[in-house]
Amino acid sequence: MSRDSVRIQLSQEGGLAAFPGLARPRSVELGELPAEQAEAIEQGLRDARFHELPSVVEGSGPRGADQRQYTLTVEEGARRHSVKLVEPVEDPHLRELLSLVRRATRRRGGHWN
Amino acid sequence: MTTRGTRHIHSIHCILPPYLLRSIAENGTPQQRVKALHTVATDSTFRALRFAGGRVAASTSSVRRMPAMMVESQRQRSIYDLKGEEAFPGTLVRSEGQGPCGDTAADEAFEGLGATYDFFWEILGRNSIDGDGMPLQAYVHYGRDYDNAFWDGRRMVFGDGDGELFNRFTIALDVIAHELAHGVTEDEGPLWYFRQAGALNESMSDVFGSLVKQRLLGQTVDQADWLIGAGLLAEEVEGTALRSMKEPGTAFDDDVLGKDPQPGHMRDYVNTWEDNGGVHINSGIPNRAFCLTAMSLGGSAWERAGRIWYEAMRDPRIMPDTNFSDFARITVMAATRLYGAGNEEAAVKEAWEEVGIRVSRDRVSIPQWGPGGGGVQPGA
Repeated sequence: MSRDSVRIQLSQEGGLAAFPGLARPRSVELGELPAEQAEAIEQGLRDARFHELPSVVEGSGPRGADQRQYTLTVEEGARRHSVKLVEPVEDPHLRELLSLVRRATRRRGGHWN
Repeated sequence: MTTRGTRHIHSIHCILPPYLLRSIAENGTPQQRVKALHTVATDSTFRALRFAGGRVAASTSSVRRMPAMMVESQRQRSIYDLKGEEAFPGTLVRSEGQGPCGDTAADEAFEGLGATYDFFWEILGRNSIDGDGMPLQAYVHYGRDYDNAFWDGRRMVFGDGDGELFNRFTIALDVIAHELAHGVTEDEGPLWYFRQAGALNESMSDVFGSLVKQRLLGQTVDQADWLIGAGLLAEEVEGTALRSMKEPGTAFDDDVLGKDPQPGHMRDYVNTWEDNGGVHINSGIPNRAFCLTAMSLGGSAWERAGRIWYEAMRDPRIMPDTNFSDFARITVMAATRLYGAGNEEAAVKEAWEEVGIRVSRDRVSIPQWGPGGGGVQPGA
């Protein structure tokens, strides 16, 4: 796939405090990222089989106060897949992907969608 | 500190039969009322009696807590290292009676749980989260770069932070106490974690979080910073903390995190579906009401303001959907019960008024408990 046409969007809610900047969807095009970072995210999407995931992925643990959830969306041309991840995220591949996307979309001075 | 005195009074009063305590509470002089209520607030027998006919008598075991049997604190802390995993149980790295293990987060969690346990025990006469000596379990190094701490219904979990936005989550004592207090609120009440009830749940955690810190530092209401999570935001972030109880909405204003969304007055109440209906947003309103109460009473916030809020939290009239206005009324009634119709009651009322919630005299003076005036015996 062409890196330029892949856009990744992440939003988060819940957690110990409300951060409007993190709750607002933040997105990045893979083509804007350094090659190494973009490759890592592409690999992360494959490892987590992101496009095969259902629209909600929930952990099996109990739910309590201050826990978070994320919405991760990948757009590639007309193809769009969005997954809501409710903590605890148990699949290590998915955690890794989340961590990579978090870093990529939280750059200072980066633009918001 | 009042450790010795509190325990002393506590042990004596638990020998008194409940009907006598109730009589003092109802008919005694203001000083007697304060002493009696201060003591019996720790005794579930009294709680059940006080609201005979209420749902608590039916839903909570009245024999579960036996304060008279408690002579020493029963801290039972265990700290587990998850080593970057998000899976339990991890490795036990420090347990009660052991010295520092050398891991900063683990040792901070251990000390933080200790300070929080001590606060509830020595100030409020509560033995741990469930009032019955529940062992305290904290898990550190949860996940990689994990930017959060939470209570999962059984245990407290702390991330290391990503270093760019957040430092490790054990760095702030009030955050540790905040998480533990979620356990207390959950044990005491049926508050939904949604909208105003959820914001009250959040606020209780901030109130006790801040009080634990203030007490450990020996701060008066004027000396306290009234911040939640000071030191938690990384150096690059424009902000001082997660929240300000004194001035909600002023804790951070940052390029990445956005601006602190907390209101400090009902006119700015945020209607939203996000964040479980704004539980971490609108908690600014009851937080400020507590801070204003404490500031008005002066001295140590945990002594009167804290006790009033704790009494309110344990009130059986707290329902799953209790809203700010209901809770305001319950805090005013708690103040009256504990201290009579004096400064305390007025301070609580004025504080709520200042955040836009009016508690009318009529509504306060009408007892709400028990259909038919209560004739049902507790535990029946």
